[in-house]
Amino acid sequence: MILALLALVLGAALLVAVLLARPQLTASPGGKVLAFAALFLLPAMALVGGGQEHLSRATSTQFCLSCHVMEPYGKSLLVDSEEALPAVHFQNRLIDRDHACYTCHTDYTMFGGVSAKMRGMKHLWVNTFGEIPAKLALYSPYQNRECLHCHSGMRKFEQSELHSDIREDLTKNVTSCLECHSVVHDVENVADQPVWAGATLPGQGPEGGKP
Amino acid sequence: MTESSMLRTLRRAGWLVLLGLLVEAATLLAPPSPLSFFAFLLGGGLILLGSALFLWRLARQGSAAGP
Repeated sequence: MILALLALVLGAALLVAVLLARPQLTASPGGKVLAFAALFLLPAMALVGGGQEHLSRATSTQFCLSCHVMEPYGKSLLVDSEEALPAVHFQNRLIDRDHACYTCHTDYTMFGGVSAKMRGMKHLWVNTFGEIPAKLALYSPYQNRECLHCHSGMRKFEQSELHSDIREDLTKNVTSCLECHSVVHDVENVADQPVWAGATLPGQGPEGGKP
Repeated sequence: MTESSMLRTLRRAGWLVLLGLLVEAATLLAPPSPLSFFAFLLGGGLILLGSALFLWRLARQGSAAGP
């Protein structure tokens, strides 16, 4: 996909360069078609393809962790703990490692993806041009819906007596999953915690970030 | 509209589109980051500007020539 897109972009650039070197080509009808393709059609296709690629990249773990402020959150995926939710999910590959942040921090609603992108644009702006708050916080309390998107129907989850006793409350969000599973990113203490030796972040490890 | 005026516009539009495409190619080769995303938006803006300039001049040339 990326190679095809690069070929399209560079091919269009080459055509434009030819037109710039020999503008007299556009005098003929064929040259006018060439100019239309080089200056409108192909760049438009490249723009749409590039936009899709960049929006897709914006959901990657590597993208989220490229901001300095997210470093402790990245480390929280690597800590040697069987209680820390992000670490357990990441290290046991219960989530796609390449989209770890996006998997848990997207609302699983009809417009969840759109609102995540809108929020993401705001985060990019603040991170690049604005003032980053001293303490990061979620916009609203974490919803069980995001956990149940995967755990609902999961045998280990459904057969657990602890879960079945409060299953309806969990569905209705009366009892939060985080009331019991309370160790999440724990960024205040993450710097002092040991890291599991086998853990690597996408784009930083020897395996190239493939899940 | 003279032919040289058309060529001049074509050249301006061409440089804008070419620069935008090269910026876009660079962002595709760079690792995912907010910086490459903003660079893509900048490149996209240049492409849009160049294409719009070309189309606008094309439309003006067409209307000047008449039916």
